[in-house]
Amino acid sequence: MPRSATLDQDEGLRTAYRAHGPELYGLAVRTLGDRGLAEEAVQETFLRAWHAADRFDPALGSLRTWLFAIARNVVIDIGRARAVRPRLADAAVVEDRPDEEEDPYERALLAWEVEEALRRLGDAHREVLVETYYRCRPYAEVAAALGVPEGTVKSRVYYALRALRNALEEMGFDGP
Amino acid sequence: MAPDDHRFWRERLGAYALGHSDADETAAVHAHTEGCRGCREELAELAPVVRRLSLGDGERVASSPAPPRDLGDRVLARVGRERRSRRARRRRNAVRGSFAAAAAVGVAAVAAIALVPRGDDEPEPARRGPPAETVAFRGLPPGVSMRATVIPRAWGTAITVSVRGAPGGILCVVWLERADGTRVSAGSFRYVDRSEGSRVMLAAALPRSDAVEVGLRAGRWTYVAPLP
Repeated sequence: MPRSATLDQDEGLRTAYRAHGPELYGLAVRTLGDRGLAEEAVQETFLRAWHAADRFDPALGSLRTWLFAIARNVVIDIGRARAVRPRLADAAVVEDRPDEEEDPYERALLAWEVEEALRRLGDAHREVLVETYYRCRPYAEVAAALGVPEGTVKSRVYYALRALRNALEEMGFDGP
Repeated sequence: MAPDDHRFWRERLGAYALGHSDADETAAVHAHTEGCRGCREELAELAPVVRRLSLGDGERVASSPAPPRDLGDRVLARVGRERRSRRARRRRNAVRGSFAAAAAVGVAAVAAIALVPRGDDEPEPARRGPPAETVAFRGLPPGVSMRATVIPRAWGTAITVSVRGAPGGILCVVWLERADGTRVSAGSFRYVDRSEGSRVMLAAALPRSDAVEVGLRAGRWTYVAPLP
């Protein structure tokens, strides 16, 4: 990002919002399940990014990756703060904190990542995964609906999984 | 296509990885991968993708919600408010610094006067407690007031929150925020609607000097009060 458009200036923020705001909003709605909270999460993400603008180094990673790292923390903070059960202090609940894998906000983040990666696939690839995997439709039925041989559906499933793997990697979501 | 063709097998690995192969296909893939390192590696690469896939919801894939049109403007407005607030803090700190320097001269003069007549065996004057600072949250609905008093402690920061006029039973979550935007929780409470309001003592394990603002979320609304 050129110096004239860094995040500590309005123009830089505006550019960053245009490029990544809608996707960040999608993440926040998916994880928090509430549009009002999601709007707050997006504002909070850019506010934190502005505070830490001097620490963003494009040589270390993309702006998108950096903003998403901030957004992950923001939605987890908001989600936990919203938890119905009042907590009096962090120190008192450290032992009670569930494992990361069991955290509903972590799970929702991982769900959003794979759903976003699926949205980036070509229609043909996305379609076979949604139909065969999520909707559990038999391959023969999907093949008939698409007007292609069953073998073609199987081969599309394979290439769709490869494409999904690439999409997750490109988005920086290539964790376990 | 010959069954020993890699393409033939790899195109079956997708359905196999998803658990969609029937018994015959499964046995055939097993037999092939036993002797084919390339296909074994391919399967190993697909396994984490399938695990990730299992976390998603296929019905949400079709579309992602679009943000309200004015959200970008609100982002800029919020950062603008914070920018102004930061500048104001810096100005106040600069002014306080000059006052502190002036006051130090005065204190030194008073101390010199006070020390002269006092003997070595006289008790030391009682030490003053750490300074309490009170900040008010702005932008509240009419009739609602919220204040926070922060006091530096050895273990972090004590925070007393006073609320008046909020809807009874509303969940309030309080935190301290560092300059980099990260937060340390101070705890939460439910507002009890009484004429004199609610006063709650909370604690955060963050040194007062590291905190730049107090945040309070009441229900769905968030308020922040910059610390001087």
